[in-house]
Amino acid sequence: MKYALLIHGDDSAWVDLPDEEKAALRAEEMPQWISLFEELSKADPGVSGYELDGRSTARVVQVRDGERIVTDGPFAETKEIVGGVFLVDLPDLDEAIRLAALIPTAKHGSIEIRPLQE
Amino acid sequence: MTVEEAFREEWGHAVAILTRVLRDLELAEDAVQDAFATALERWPRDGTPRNPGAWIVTTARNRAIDRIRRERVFREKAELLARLEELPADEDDVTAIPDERLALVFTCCHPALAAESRIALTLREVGGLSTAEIAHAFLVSEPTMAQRLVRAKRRIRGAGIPFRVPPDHLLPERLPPVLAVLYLVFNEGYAASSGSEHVRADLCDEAIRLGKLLAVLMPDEPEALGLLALMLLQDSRRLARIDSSGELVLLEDQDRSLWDEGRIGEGLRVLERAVSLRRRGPYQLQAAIAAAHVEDRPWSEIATLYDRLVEIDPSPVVQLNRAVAIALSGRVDEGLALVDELDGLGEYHLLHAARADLLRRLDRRAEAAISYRRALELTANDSERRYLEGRLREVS
Amino acid sequence: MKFMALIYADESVWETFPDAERQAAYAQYRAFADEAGAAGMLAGGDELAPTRDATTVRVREGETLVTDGPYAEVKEALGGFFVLECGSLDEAVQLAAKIPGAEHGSVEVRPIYVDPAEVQP
Repeated sequence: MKYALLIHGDDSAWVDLPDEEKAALRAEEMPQWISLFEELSKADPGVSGYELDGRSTARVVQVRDGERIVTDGPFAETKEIVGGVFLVDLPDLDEAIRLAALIPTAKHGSIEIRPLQE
Repeated sequence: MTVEEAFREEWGHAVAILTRVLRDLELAEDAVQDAFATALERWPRDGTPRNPGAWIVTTARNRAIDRIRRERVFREKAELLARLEELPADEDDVTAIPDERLALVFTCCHPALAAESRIALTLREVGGLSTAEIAHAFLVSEPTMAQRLVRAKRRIRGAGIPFRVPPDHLLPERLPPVLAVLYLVFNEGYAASSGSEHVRADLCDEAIRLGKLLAVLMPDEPEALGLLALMLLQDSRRLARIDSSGELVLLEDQDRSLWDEGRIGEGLRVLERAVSLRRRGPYQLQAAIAAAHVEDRPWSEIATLYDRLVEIDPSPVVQLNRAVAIALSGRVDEGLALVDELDGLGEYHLLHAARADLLRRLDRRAEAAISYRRALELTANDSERRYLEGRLREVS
Repeated sequence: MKFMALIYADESVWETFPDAERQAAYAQYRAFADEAGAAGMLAGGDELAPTRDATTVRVREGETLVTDGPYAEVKEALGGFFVLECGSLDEAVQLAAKIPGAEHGSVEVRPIYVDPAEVQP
């Protein structure tokens, strides 16, 4: 079954940090992300993933009565935004749960497991 | 045995086998339900089959074939019909089919299902209770319960919940939800927060029945045995808890001749087997406490058991019970101090009832009255209300 | 540059659509995908199953917590996404405005992060 693993995380703690510190934090977490991706690839060699830029570059576009409205910021008004997505084909939900729990963001954010519509 | 009784006995078996083969719980249940309709027609006329279970599986298989031919689009039809080929068409071969009920239990209790869905599904699919019976037991309308069940079954399919017994490494996290469902059903029946007594006894019986099934399917799992022992021991006091005028009777005041010796004996034997497996757990400890009550062990021993339980399960309710046990073992001031320290039980009537009782024993009557009044505000159960009112009169 | 266009819409509205309207909506999405694809601006996309089939996972103090349902119960849920290839964020926003979801819902456009050290294909 094909799943999207949506990564919800709160980036407020580090979004305003200077670039050097951000890079340092990334480097610190990188081994966990690498081993996660290895697990994902073992489970589904065709796995793909996208990391999304922070909220400062998010835009929401709506079309109302033919008029285009663009606003800054993410759509949801929660502290947490979608930070990334993995698309992975797995035997069942238990596998999806196992892999979701390995995503580093799961420790302070949430991973939403959504099947893809057939 | 009536048709209903036979089906309730065999329901879980049949649904589990059909689900294993079809990989679709909703279709499996519909097929067994169809077989039930057929039985209602045929058995009174032809007599009850010698092996009702085998008849049900074979008939459900045939009804499933009918449904698939009628309802499914071509692409699905071929696949589903091919899967049904795995099932013998001959009743005599049905007994060789492995028991799939454990997989059914774990599927119905999967953590990805909402808690109320787990309970409803387990009672319906494993227990074979009708939607109406479950609705009545949980005080919701039948359509509401029917919808809850349909949604849960669709979610199993839609979310990709597998039909299986979890692999060993997952069991430590998957077994507790199963035990919790059974104990919840039991407590619904035992504590009766509101509603008629008659329905409630049935729930206790159903929980124990499912508990026995689980113990048979997982004979080396000490917590499954511990839970069964706990329910048997608690249930043994069912008739003594309420006196002839419907009043709640506390453990120490109960007429022990009304305790069910059969249940007690069984509970103690099951507990012994659990303990022999040498893997302690919260249900075994609670069962040991229940056994201690039945065997009239001193409160100091019970307090020690609570000391061990509170280490594994520091929930406020357990801490409260421990405080009460300490108080009743003679350390009243200590017990009261522990009750006063408790967090998060402000709305729990038994906290105030316990505090009131301890204050009463310390002859602090005015304070006791305040707590009895608070407890009265919070309880919805008639028997408990009358008990508290009686105590309040004593201290006023 | 790659961008993700996240499509948010009211699920309950979609649920009540008669079949003909659903087919019409799907046709509009296909038309968008064809147009964007022909212009070399589409790199993928998927529709998500409804939130009633969602499961949320959190890990707290080493324990995996599983809950029934999406991350948050909101009126407008994430229903699908496209992966767009555009020269700039503004261009991506303009393209995203053509997604049918922008009319009856909202489309959130997010640049896909690129590690400065990574070699670009």
